[in-house]
Amino acid sequence: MGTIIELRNVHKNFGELKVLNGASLTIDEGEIVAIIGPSGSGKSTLIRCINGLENIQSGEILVRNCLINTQTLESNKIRRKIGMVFQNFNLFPHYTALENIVLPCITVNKMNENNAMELGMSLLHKVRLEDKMNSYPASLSGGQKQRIAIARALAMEPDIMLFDEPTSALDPELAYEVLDTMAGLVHNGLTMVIVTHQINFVKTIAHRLFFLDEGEICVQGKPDEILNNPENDRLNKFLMRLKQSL
Amino acid sequence: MKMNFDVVFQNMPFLLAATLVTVEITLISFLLALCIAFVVGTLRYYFKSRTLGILLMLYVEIFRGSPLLIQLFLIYYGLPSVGVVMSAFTAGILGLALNGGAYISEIIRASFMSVDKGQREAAFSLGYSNLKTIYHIILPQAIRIAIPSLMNSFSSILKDSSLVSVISITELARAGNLIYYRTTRPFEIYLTLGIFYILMTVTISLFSKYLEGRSRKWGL
Repeated sequence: MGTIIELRNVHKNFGELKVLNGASLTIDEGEIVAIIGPSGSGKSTLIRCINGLENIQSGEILVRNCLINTQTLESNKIRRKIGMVFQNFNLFPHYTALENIVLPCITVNKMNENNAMELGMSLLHKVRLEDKMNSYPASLSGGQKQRIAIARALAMEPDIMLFDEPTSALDPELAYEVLDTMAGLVHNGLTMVIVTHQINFVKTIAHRLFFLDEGEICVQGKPDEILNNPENDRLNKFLMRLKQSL
Repeated sequence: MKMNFDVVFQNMPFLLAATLVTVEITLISFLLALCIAFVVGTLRYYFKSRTLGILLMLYVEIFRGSPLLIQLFLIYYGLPSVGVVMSAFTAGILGLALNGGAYISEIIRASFMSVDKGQREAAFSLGYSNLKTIYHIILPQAIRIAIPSLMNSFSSILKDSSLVSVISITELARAGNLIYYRTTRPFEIYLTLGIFYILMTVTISLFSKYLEGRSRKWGL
């Protein structure tokens, strides 16, 4: 399996504030990677760069060997195969749960209505929310919203799924149902990049872990090896703090 | 002084015909203003082009910053001297629409800005084009936010339409003046005009409530 995502020496600042400071990484096709790090370390910015939500100052971001940080026909085509799940869900409030999944397929992918409905229902089944198909987002719980958001992203049949702190806005029990849904997505071929604070979840699901601090990748490797005996000082400190907060 | 509403009742057919003119001018001007405002508001919000931005800002500031009365005079009496001649009716509607459009474009822009930016990001990551994002995602939410303000502008245009009486369009206000000149009963006549306008603005308010109620199903 080849490389699907590659970041080369990516720099990004918001005005004076340097957020990414020469971040480089490669992710293989079908790999599940987690990105952890203290808040403000640039995790969210990094994952948002991968599908072009942020412009970068220098460096290169390649997805399937195509530069994603340029607006070309090819990069747009590749970007469509990247699904994104946001911390704040960002469901469309004027669409029902089912419409949130179905209408993007019809509007963007020009899928015909019957096929889209069929796909929508099967995805609702997958995230176990068939009974909420006609509910508007405002009447769903946070966990339900996030599961609908996952289904909406899956409807575009992505090769890559990006999760930007998908459970940070949720109570622990609601977070669990979302993590459970995410674990159900693991199958051959789907590449998942997950920004999270859920260390235990990372241990069970991720093939590889990146620890980001001050805008660069400090440590990477297998979750068990890194987390069970962290050799890096900064990672050690971060993990200690995380434990204290639990 | 004894009130005598006979003058009003005798002239009722004339007043009703003039009311129809007011309604017509208001509706056409409001629809035109909405079109102008939608284009201007969208361009100013979405496409951050420098020159275009300055031109549109000038339009908004000029039409909001000067009295509608002056704008009407300029269009109807001023433009013919540079070769642009139009009927009073056209000039009146053009003035009201340009003036209203400047105000409403700011409403549209503000309501676009009040839609959470996460909505744009979600649409972008799903592959929506800019235009599709505006049409399918931003606009439906923005309009819902804008409805009360838009209906308020609708009322304003209705009331401002009384100003086109000065360029000799016989709408409700001018009809009232004409009856007054003939009968010299200002109190009864202007009171009646006031009531007519209030009946129309109340209708608009009720319509606004109805529209707001319809969009409540999103449960926000």
